[in-house]
Amino acid sequence: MPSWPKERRLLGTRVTRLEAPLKVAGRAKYAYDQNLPGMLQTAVLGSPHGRARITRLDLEAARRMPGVKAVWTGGGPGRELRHHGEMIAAIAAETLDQARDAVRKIDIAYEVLPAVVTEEDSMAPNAPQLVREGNVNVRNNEGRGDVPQGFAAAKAVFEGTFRCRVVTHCCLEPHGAVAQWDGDRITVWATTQGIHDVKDGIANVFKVSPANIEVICEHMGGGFGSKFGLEHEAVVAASLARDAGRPVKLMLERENEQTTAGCRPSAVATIKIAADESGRLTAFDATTYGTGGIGGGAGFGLPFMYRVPAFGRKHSDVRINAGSARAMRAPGHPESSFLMESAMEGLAVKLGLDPLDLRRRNLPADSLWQKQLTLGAERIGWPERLPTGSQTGRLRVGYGCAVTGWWGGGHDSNARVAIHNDGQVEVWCGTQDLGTGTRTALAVVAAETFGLQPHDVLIHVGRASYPPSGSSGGSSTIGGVAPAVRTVSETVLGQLFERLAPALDAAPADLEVAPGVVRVKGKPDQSLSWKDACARLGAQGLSAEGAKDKSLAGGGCNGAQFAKVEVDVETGIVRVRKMVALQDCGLIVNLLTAESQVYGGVVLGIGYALYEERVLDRDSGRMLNPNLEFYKLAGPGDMPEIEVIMQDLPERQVIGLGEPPTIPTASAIAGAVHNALGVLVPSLPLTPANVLAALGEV
Amino acid sequence: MNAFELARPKSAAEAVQLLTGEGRQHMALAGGQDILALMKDEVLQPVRLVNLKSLPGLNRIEVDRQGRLNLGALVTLAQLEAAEPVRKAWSALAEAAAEAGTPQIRNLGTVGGNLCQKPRCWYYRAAPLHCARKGGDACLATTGDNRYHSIFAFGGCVAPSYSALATPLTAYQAAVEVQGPGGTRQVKLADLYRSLEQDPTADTVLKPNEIITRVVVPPARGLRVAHREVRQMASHDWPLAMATVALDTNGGTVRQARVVLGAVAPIPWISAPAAAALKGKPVTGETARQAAEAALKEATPLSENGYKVRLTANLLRRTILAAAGVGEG
Repeated sequence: MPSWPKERRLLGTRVTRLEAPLKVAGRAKYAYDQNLPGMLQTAVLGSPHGRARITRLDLEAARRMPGVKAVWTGGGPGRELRHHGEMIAAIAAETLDQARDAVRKIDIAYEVLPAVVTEEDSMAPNAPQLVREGNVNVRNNEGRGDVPQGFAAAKAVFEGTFRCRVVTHCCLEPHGAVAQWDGDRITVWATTQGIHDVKDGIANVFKVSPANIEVICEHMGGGFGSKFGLEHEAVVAASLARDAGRPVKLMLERENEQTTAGCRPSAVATIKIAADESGRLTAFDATTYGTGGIGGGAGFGLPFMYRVPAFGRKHSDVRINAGSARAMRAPGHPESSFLMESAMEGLAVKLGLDPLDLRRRNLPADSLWQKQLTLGAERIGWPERLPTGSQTGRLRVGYGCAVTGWWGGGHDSNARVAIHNDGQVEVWCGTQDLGTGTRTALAVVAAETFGLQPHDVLIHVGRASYPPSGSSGGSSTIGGVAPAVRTVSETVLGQLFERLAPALDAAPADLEVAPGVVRVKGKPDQSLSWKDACARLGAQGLSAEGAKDKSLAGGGCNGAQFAKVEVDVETGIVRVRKMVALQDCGLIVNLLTAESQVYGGVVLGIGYALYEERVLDRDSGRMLNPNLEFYKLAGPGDMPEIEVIMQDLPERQVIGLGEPPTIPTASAIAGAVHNALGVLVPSLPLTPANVLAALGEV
Repeated sequence: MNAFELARPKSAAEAVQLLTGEGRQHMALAGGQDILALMKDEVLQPVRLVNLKSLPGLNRIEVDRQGRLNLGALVTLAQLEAAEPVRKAWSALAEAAAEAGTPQIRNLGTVGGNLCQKPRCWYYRAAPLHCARKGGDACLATTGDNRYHSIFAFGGCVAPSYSALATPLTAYQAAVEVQGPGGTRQVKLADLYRSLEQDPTADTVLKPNEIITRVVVPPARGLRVAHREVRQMASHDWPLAMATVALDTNGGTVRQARVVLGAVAPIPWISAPAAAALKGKPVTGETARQAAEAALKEATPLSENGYKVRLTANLLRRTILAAAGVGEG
């Protein structure tokens, strides 16, 4: 029965990334970097309007442009375009400049239709209906318990309306693919979170046997949830490649990336929340809505994190003329967190309670959260926190906190492990390294098992022809791939012990590995060096392939974050001075990259809190900031000191942690701003406009 | 991007000749930090670029015998922020240069280019939109999302002036030396953008075949000058407001003040009411506040940018105090 080692030599230590030298030297090959002999480049025509109908589309002049080899279009006259950037046509040519020139020769005319741009406009009784099902999908009322009784029994009731704006993923490597056909075989270099899903999609769309498809993703420049399954861009690239009989690259340019490649939905909630004398929540009621653009839903959970005996909820998903939402790092959760924690902040004031105390009283007394809140409060300096609203100076300092949780259970995964007769260990796993350090994690697991160093292990990931592994979503990768490699490595190690037992004059069960050696337990002098041991394996070496043992993965993790901010009440500018992030993820595989995940989550959360917002023109529905200039991504100068404290809990097995550390960041910051100012800023991002408005200065 | 011709003149006179387009769009290229992006985004489609970088002698910073600062038009922002004479005697200009863009932009961006940059309005920069600045009928920002736009009205476009140098140079009463077909002329910074009042497409009073060759800044001896800006992000971000305040004081009393605001009007906004409010008074928290209030009394904010009024008033109050060296309140 596979298990994690009791004594860990490498697991839970800080191991530098295997691919770091490649990335530092610029030699890591992303899909964007694939340049094949004879490859064509693609330019895309996206809709310039928020909503329009194509009245004329003539591609002949474009086809005749120099270098043009293939043209794709998604439909001509009569087609309704329903958001800015929606792909109308794509042209593959010898060079990107030729492709762009050809796109400009597309003869197209539009009937511009009135765009529906805001959630409120879309819900208005006379709004144009954008799809047959209508603009608004009201979900069934959810709830439990006796809500009126809960409010009646309360000591304090708080009511407020809070809003999160739409943000985009801003993948630095945009969506796209390179496709190459060889007869009825196809190879796709995709920037994707799921190579097997891409393979499955290609098989379905192009009616190709999975046996004839290879999907490759060696490295990727960001997905954050927006790169699942077979993307439209890869379909178009493969179509163009088939038509041209040449390899084709299609990578979106920034404007199309920002308008079409996904976003996190908006979320608006009018919340009523109550607590009794002891600060225990008694009732919660929320009317909520949000938009996931033209196609996506805008679901999020409420109440969030804290136990409420009675609650009611009514939610509407609202369509507008904007690019569709896609999963974004902890789908729904950062929104839920901001809405809920803002209400908790308001309630704490009504109760006259320290907001940290209010949180404690509504989390299980024996939970890890309690310990994290104690430790975090100490690290951020919570005792120096002044009462909310008590400051009068220009620069006001505030402290805030919020908690997080996530399942993070591992997906299914297989792996193949081989030992060669020179001692080299090789691992194959059909997963993809999103930049999170998956390769290195696999090397740590294999090296731990075989008594080697991570850099001694050859890791192969990122090909759909390797042993199947799940898509990387829901923080499920590490709990899939690490157990798979451990399971199969233990199998191979068992085989090795069988082979070596006679030479070491012991039973296979009595053998063990120590760094660089195979030896008899309790008899360190009866040993073989790793190299000598493997030299006995013959030409075929040893290998095995198999699935993960599910007992090696756990689920359910806890976290808490604290923020210290400084607000200039004369300009409304918020600067985060310090963040403390406490997080558990069960058994930590690689402490260095686990901490990196938390840093990354906090960085993303700071952008969500302060800067990021998709701005649409109310009139045309065009995105006004489809760039990285007025779509404000936080830079190094905007980063505070970030202290990450990982709780290593090996008994809980391996749990994923990509998502949980970005959930509470914005909430903790907003709580800190509330503490500094004495007023809640009800809308993210916490811009000067929103802060000054909350202060009554506008 | 359209194909274009790249011309490399050997003299300013030749550059002027090459820029003379007779209806064809010929444009000057210096650091390329703005125009190349506009060409790639198909907002501008010149048929000829005249590369001024080949002109000799325009990358020098010199102080002449009259004590004036002479900046060649091709001096980079990085040169400007590092130049000792500028840091010593025109420190607000060096500070403003240091705040502009990013190190990469400052290494290439030039003084002339910074003064002649196109508006950073998200309607103007969207190629398919035909706004007033591009010769269209209406300013789309006036009725659209104008959260970053002007709070002072000037002409028919509300895109704010973001030139980091124009604000302090106006306060220092600098002038640009312009070479055109008829020789050279001087234009005061205070007049450089006046054309926008009548014609929203006329970024400056320069004709298409005129180029800035130098900026001449008078001596600032005895002046107390401060430049401050507010931007949301500490990293690269466009300012929400800029202010330069130059005070000529006599024994604690302001003899003459010049107050210039940036990023709040289509042009560097010279506030006569603020200057008048300071004249003859000592700079205190109260007089600084009154001057700032006087400046912002003229503000006519748009639908989404009311917050910039208070923000700018506070910035200006602090800048006045900083110029006077009495702390920033």
